[in-house]
Amino acid sequence: MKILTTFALVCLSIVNAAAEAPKLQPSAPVIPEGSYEGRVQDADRGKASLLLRPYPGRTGSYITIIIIGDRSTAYIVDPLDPNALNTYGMTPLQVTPDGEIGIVNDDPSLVLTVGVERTRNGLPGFTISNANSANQIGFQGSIVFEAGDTSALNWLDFNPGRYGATHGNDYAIISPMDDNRQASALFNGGDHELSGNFSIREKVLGIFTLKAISVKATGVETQAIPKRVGVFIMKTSCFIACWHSQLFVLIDPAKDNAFRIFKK
Amino acid sequence: MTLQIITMIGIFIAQIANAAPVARAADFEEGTETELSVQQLDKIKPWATNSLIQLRDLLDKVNTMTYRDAHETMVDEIKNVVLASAPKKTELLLRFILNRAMKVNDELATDSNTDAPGAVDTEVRILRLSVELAQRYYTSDIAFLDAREKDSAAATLPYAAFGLEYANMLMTMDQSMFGARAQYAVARLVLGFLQVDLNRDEHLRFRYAPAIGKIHAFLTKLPERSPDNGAMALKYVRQMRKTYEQALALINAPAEK
Repeated sequence: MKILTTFALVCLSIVNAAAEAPKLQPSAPVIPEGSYEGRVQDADRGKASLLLRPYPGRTGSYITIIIIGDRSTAYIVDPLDPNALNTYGMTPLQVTPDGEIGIVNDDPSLVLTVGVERTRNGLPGFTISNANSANQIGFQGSIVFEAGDTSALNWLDFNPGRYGATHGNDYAIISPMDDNRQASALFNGGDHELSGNFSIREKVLGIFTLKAISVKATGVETQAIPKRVGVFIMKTSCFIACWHSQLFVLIDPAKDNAFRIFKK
Repeated sequence: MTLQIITMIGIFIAQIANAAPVARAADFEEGTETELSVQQLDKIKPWATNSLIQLRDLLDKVNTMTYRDAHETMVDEIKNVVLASAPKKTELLLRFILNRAMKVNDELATDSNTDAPGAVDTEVRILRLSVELAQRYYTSDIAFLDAREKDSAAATLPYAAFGLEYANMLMTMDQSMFGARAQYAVARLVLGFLQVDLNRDEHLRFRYAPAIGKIHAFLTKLPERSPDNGAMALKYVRQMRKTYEQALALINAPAEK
C-alpha cells in the first residue's frame, strides 16, 4: 500500500514539475524618464539626444527617440532579461505596410547597457551600441551617455496651436484633440507633399501620424499611409537667462533623415 | 487508506489533464468535421457568396468611420456573418478566419489596456486584415465546394497552407503590438491555431509531425494567461517567437526520402 502511495506522489511531483513554466522575478524600471545627451563615438563625435519614457502596459520597457543632427528614429526599448535590468534591446519603430506604426523587423538594431555610475539624483550613465543583428534601420554605431548629462530637448504630450516652419514661411495650425483622440492639422506653404488637411492621431505613446484626408460626399476619407510622423518637443535654450521653445518635429516615415521642425 | 489512494489517483489524473492544455479545434469553436452533405452544400454556397459581398461593403463602410465606430461596426458585422453560417459542420476557411478574428478580439479586450494610445487602432487593424484575408480565401473555398459538388472525394481544404499564411499574418501583427500581455495572448493563439491547422491537414499531417510536436511540447509548459509583469510576459513572447521560427524551419526542411 505504501509503495502505491509513494508511486502516486512521485508521479504527481513529476507532472507538476513538467507543467510549471520557468519562474521569473518581477522587475522595476532603472532609467528615470527624461532626456539625455550623449556623444556619438565616430570621427565627428557629434551630440545625440535621447528622449525616454516608460511604456505603460509593458513594465520595465521604454519608448525612446534618438535625435542626431537631422536624423531621428523612435525605438521600443525592452529588457533582454527580466532578471537583469541593465541590458536592453532597442527595436526601431517603422510604418507597417498597412500604414500603422509598429515593429516591422523584431530584431533589435541597438543595445543599451546601463553603467554602474549614477548621479546623486539617480541619473545613470549608459551606452548604446550596435546589436549586430540583421536589423540595420536607423542609427548604427555607438553613443556614450555620461551620468548626469541631460539634453535641452524634452518630449511633450499633444500640444495644439499655431506653428511656423523654422525655415521658410510654411505654417501649421493644429486643432485640439476630439473625443476620438484625433485632431486635425492644416499645413500651408511651399512643401507640396505637406500641404492641405491632415488628421493627427497618437498611434504610440507620444508619437503621432499625419494622414492626408479627403472630404467626399460619402464622408471624410483618411489615407492609409501617413505622410509624416510627428512628435511634440520642448527645447530649452540658455544665454544669460533660459527660455523654452515648443516644437513640432516631423519625420518622413520613408526616410529617417527627412526632418522638419515647426516652432510655436 | 483506500479512500486516500482513490483521492491520490483522482488528483494525479486531474494533474495530467491540467498539464496538457493543448489547443484543439474545438477550443476555437470551429469543429473538426470536413464532410459536407449535398443539402449542406446547397446552403453554404449562397452563404459564402453573400458573405463576400457583406465583407466588401464592410471595409468600404468603415473607411470613413472613427476607429471606435469602425471597431464596433466590424465586430457586429463579422459576428452576423459568422452566425449566418450555421449549421456548424459547414466550415470554410473564410468562416475560420472571421471566427478567429472574434477570438483574437476577445483576447485583446481582456488583455490590453483599451485606453492606451493605439489600442483600438490595433483591434481595428486585426479585424481589417482578417476580413481582407477572408476575402482572399473565398476563392479556394468556392473551388472546394465545386469539387465536392462533383463528388470528388479527394477535394479537401488546404488546411496546412492556410494555417501557415494565417499564422504569418497574426504573428506579424503581434510583433507590432505594444501591450505585453496582449502580445502574449495573441502569440499563444498563433501557436495554438498553427498546431491545429497542421494537424487537420490529412495529406501533410505526418510530414509536419515534428513541427506539430514541437509546438505541442512548448504549449504544454506555457501558462494559459500572461504574467502581469511586462518584462516577464515579453520573455515568454520571445520564447513563443523562437518556437514559431523553429517550427517553420522544421516545416521548410526538405522531406526525407
